[in-house]
Amino acid sequence: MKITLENYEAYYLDYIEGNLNSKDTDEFLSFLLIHPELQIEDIEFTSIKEYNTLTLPDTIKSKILRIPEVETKFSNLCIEKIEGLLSENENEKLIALIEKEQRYQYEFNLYSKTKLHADQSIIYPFKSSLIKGKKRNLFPYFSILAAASVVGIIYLTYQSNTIENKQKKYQSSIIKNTNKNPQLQLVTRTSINPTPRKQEIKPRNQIKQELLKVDLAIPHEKTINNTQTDNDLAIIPDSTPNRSTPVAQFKQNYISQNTENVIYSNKSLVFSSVFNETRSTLKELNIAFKSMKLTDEDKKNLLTESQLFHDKLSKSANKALDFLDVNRIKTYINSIFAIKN
Amino acid sequence: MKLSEYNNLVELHADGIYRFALKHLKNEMDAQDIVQNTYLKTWEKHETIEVSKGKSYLFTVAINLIRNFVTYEKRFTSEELANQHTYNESSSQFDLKEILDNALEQLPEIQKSVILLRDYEGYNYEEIGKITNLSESQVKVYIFRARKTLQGILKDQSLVV
Repeated sequence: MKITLENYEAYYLDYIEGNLNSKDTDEFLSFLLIHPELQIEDIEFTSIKEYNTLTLPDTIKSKILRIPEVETKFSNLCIEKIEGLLSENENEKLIALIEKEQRYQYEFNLYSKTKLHADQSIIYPFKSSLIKGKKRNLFPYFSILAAASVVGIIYLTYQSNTIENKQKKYQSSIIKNTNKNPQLQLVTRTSINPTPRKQEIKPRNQIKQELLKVDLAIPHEKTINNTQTDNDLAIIPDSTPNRSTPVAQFKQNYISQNTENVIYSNKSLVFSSVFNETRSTLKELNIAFKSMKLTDEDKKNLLTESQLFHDKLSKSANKALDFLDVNRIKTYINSIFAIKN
Repeated sequence: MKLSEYNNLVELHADGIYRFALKHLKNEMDAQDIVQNTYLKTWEKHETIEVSKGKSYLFTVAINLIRNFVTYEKRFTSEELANQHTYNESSSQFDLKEILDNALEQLPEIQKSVILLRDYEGYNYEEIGKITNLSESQVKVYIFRARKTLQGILKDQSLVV
């Protein structure tokens, strides 16, 4: 609608003088229907056209002319109110005006709605890319990959080697004295337990129990015989040994205290060597990436692929961590990274 | 400005600049470019910028980039505006936020900038003047004009309703 509170008075005069065309007349009358308060009481609109030559009384003219001024002042008051620029007196004036006429209240409500509010849910998605001081290359991704890979390798190493190593260790520490103690029975490597295959891997607790069984085969009254051979590995007593003897007690304690330590020290060695190899490889990779002058799209693809690879490895690593002692592995990884950093 | 202070500016104001640019450009990718370039330019000069003026500097750069973007790349072609107008009309006219968004689009760029800085970021007239390179009284006039225009559009819309 082109007739507004700011320009309606011109239309008003044209209408009174009969200068409006039919379209503008209809629009002006519609406007007056929306704003009945602007109609001049003393004039019958239906008969206005008959008095084209009528001279308006000064009172009416002044009433018409005063309206825009009041409107402008009111608008300014409303905006100043929103902007927090009103003095107490002006504020009271505004409130009085608003309470006086519903029209002013309507106008003021519209002004209040012009105060814009930011949508806090809209956030810049790449904020981390703006942060300075942190390396923004691919190395962090590969560090994670390296950690995950190492854990995976440990898992496999543990499966294939650890059980056999432990059995060997404890078997070799068993005292053999077949000549002096006829009650004892010679046990060969194959008669203890064959090395479990990957599919037959046993839980750690079960392995420990089996190692303890080996310990039970120790002839507690005897001393260590340094002449043991690879074929003569262990001697199992016919009956339950007396666990209270000093030698047996020592061995029992040794096994319970050191079994896991030994296992983990072996793992650590594997871990360290694999990690060092991985790290040097990653260094080379990192240098290579820098010299390749990758495009943004290449970098994006590479990062996506790295992320997928990382997710895949993480799943494998999590399986491994479930099988192993999670906390100890994590501590070890953390310590390695602490040193690196 | 130290490195940590620069990073702090990223944490505090990247979202605000993004919203500001988005309101002007109505395109996420363009707004993201503006944010990135704003911080890039700020980083290049970070050693000479005082921390207390960091936010103002960011918005000054952002506004200049937006102006350049609009002016030189001629993003708002008449055809696009016509399409946008059609879209706006066909969308729900009864939602105040949408009406305000559409109304904001009808403001001149400078009025849009000052009213967004005022309402979104809470700057006073003096600060807005420094950012936009206007006098305090000019800022006040632009804000008054912008609010009157917005109110007029709201009134027209409500009359239609």
